Amino acid sequence: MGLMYNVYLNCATIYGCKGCKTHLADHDDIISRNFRGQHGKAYLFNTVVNVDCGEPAERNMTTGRHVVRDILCRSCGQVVGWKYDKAYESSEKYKEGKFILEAELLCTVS
Amino acid sequence: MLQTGLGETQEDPDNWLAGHGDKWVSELDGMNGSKTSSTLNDGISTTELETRYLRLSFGQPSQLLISYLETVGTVVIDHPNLRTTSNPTHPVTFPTPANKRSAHILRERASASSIQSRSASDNPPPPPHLTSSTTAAAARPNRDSLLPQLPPLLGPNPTPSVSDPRAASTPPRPAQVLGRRRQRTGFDGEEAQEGEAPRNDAFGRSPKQKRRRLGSTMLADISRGEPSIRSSQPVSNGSRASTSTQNGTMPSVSRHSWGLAGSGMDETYFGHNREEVSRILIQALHDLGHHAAAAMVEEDSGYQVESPDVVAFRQAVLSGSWVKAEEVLCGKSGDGRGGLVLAPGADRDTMRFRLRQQKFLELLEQRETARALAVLRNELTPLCQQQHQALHLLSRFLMCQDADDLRTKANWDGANGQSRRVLLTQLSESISPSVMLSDHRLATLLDDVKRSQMDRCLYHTSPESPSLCVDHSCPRSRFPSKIMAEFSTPNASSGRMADEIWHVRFSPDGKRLASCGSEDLACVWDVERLTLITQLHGHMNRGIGSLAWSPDSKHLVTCGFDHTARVWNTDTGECIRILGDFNTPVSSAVWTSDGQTIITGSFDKDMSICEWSLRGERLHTWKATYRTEDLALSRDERWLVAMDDQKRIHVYSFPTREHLYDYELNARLTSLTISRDNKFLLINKADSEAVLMDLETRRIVQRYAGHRGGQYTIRSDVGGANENFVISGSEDGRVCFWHKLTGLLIQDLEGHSDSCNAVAWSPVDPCMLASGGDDGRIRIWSNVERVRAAAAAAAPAASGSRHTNGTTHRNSMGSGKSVSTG
Repeated sequence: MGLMYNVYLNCATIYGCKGCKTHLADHDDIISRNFRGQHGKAYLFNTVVNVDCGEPAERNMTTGRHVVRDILCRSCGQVVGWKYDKAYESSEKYKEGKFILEAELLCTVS
Repeated sequence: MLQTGLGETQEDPDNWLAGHGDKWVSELDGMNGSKTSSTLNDGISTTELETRYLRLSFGQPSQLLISYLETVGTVVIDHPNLRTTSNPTHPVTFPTPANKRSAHILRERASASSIQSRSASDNPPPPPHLTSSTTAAAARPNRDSLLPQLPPLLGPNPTPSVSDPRAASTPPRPAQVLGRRRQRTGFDGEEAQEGEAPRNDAFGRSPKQKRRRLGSTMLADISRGEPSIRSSQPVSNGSRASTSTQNGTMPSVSRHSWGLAGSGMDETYFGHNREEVSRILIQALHDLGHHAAAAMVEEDSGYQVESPDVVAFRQAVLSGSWVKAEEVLCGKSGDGRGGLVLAPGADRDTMRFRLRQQKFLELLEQRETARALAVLRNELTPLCQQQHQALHLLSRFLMCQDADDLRTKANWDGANGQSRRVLLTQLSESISPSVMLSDHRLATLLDDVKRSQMDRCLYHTSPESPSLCVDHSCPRSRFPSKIMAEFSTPNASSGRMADEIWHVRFSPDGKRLASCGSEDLACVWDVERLTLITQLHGHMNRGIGSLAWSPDSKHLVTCGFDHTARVWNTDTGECIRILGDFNTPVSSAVWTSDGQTIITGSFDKDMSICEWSLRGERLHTWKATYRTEDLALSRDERWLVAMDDQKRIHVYSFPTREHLYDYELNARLTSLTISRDNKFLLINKADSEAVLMDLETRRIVQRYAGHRGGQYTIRSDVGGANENFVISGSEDGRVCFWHKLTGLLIQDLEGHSDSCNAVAWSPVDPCMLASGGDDGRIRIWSNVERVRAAAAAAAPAASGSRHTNGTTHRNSMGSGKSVSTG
């Protein structure tokens, strides 16, 4: 891994990592707010920046079996949510390639 | 074959006598009793002989026969190429040798050449039937009488080593061929005379004496036949120093306008306008101080560097006689008729204004205010209908207290200084080049040639100016391509996971190298001794993204991810200043040339570009609404360029801090470098392409591809001898080299096992560069010679080079396996 500066977002409300305030996602990029994670409310986003992905794992969620990977903040290494790689049920296919960020682990950066 | 008259037979297809008729040669042979076997196309008719008329025909179209005739007589040279259009069937007639010019030539040659063929006087007596006639063919009787004359003309040639075999035979020959005065056909160039000298003895020495025609046919012919001769005839080699006596033993016998009506002769010097070349040469001779030679060339060639009008103008300006100058410039009637010829687009009024302005300033300098005022009112005002500003400026000078004050205010160095010369130079730009050459024209042209040769040299490594005698090109072996040394940071060598190197920079004096990376320390290395000098500890976490050396190579600024920039003294390793109000990582920094101000760029929107003094005060915050990822300041401090994280660069004028323009590219940008000539900006992009942009014209002038970009920041640099090269790192670990002007990928080296993040070319050494990569190593590259020398120097010291605080490992050559010790 080489030199990589953080990506900075340009929009009205930006969510950032609670620990280090690194920009993570744009409020207007939320697809759905109806998600729950280990720590409570979570949002589904289209794109998220400044995150590193972990190893894929198969998990059983309330909606069924999925292959997901954890995403961590690039600066501080904290887990901030997960990413859907594959959904086994066709009704859940829309989540593939998208990101979940847990509200508890975020803060707003104006 | 040609009978040389000595009994030698020459099989020489280019011999100009080859193919000539029997008669001529047989006569010659008769002279010395040997057998001849050459043939002449048309012989010499006896009737013509009696009329002192020699008619020779050429056997082969490309050959030219110079006949050598006695003082009275006519030579007719008949050659298809010489026939005029008006007279297609008749040969061209030359004036007799009795005219002054030819006599002049003979005399010159006689005096100048070595006279080896005086021995020719020992020739056998002419055959009885040719006693009286003085014709060429009847040369025989003449030969005797002409004998004394021949040697001088033949002289020069025997000396050149090239023509030795013939030279040996030349002395006797003149005896035979006597009476032939060589008539120069007008197209010999300046050099050709030397070549002609040997020709006297037409028959024998034709190959050497082949007259060079300045047209292409002759040249082709010559090139076929006599390579050796060519070297002794400067015509072909222009610049090769000829050691023969030919060069320069013929003083003023340059071009002779013999009134040759030959249509085949070219009025050009190898394709260049004869007049231009002559004038430039004369000017160059004057510049070199050889005024007598210049005058002679002027006289001989008939061209003048400057017309008499221009000479008068020049004198008038330099001596300050403004009325005269204007008169010459504009002609007696004052409206341009009869005045100097101007270059296209030049404005006589502007020139007049300048002259009058100089007059005004000089009058003021002498404190003749009344007269100066008169000049301003009566002469300057009518000329400036629209440009009142200029008038206002000049009228302000009226208020100056004294001459010194005037000089400083007007930025003018006085009548006794260079101002008149400067004025003349300015005016000469507006005068047509056909009457006045710009100063030192030859030097300008040569500079151009050198520059273009250096620019095109693919592996240019020599810092000196190239020689004019030979086309410049550097050997590839001198180009850096081998690893001279490898540095690792202390942590890396101690076995822990190697941290990455993110930036390497040479100090401006080229003696040190600084590196920084994902570790929290920056290292300074000594490049000559290849050791570590100091480590700079102080940054807190997550690494140092970039660094910058001060112009005096003593201080270093490091830009860290811990939201601070630190200034260090590289000798002691201590941190002398912390610049730390940032809310984001600091991305880059640049120094001004006085070493007192630092400009930092960061991702903080409020403090994107800030200027700091060395004491840590924030002097100025530039207006920038973007986040800065890289900064570059040109050496002359004219341009400041900032690169943001959104594919755009922003260009400012540094002295005025004014924003000039933005330029948007098509991919994420990773680094900026401004070349040392302050003209070009190199931008590296993440889509595997680097572009070179001209800062003034705002256009992309070259693109470089071949390295790999991606998500990481890869840095590139411009450097090398004459700054001919662009280098860049690459995500696949290679170091790529391109030729700056042409964009050719000339080399790529396997630099690092992982990504190669940064490269830098030494600012003083054209054969050294450094690269740093994700494997935690810094590699110094150089050419084979230097690597060997370094290895030899290191060998005795090898045992003492291991320390725990940083190791260096020298690789003599090769692929760079390094062993980490310590």
